[in-house]
Amino acid sequence: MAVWSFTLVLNRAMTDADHDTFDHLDEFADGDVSTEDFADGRPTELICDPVEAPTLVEAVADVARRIRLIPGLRAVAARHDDMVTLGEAAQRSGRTRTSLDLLASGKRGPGGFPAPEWTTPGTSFYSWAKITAFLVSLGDEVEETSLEIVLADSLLRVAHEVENRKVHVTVEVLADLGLPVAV
Amino acid sequence: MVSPGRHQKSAVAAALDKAKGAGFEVRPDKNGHRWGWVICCGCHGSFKVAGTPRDPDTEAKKILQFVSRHSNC
Ligand SMILES: [Zn+2]
Repeated sequence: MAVWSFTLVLNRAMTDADHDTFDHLDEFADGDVSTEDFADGRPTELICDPVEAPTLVEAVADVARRIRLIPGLRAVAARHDDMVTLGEAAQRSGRTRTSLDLLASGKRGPGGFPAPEWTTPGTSFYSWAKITAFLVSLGDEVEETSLEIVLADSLLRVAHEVENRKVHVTVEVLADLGLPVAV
Repeated sequence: MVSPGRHQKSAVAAALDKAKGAGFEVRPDKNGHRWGWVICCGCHGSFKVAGTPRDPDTEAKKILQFVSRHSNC
């Protein structure tokens, strides 16, 4: 099955009690969901990688479901991190890893592949925004922000709003709105 | 032999060494699936490190991504 990497923003900062619950839930035993907390009290972010699912939207939904097991926590937004390995860039761009390796090393293409933003022996991280700009200059049709992550983000925001306002939305309503749901 | 303060997965232990070398605090703090934390000394943001990641290479990558995101703090 495909694996996905993405970041989810929670509705609030996780407390020590939230972390304790998280650390004991079997649903998080695999380590595919990590947490990043901020000292300024901003909501905690979930660094999700590698989440197995057929599609990115399903991977986001899976983590959104799991985080709801901790009372009061909700995922309310989704995005891609700009700092990527060439492997992640390959998945986002639709090119093969080999193709990006050749472009990055200058063995193929015009040269000028963006330099890594941060390197440590064995690992290099690139800016996805810069890679996108480079690939577009080669004629690739690639978006800096993928439609799938925008869709996942929109769905999380809708679910959060519906829950906040305690609106009852039936499957029939979703179908009337044009969503391809099974009624 | 694995020393008590060291992560049992070598790829993760190596990433934690790199984080330490880059000036980050690495704090073992075992609890359930949790191994401990990597803490940015600039902004005090913290990243939770898993104790038994199914994919240690990706866990190592996430630690290094955290370090790179906080390299200018
Ligand atoms: Zn920082």
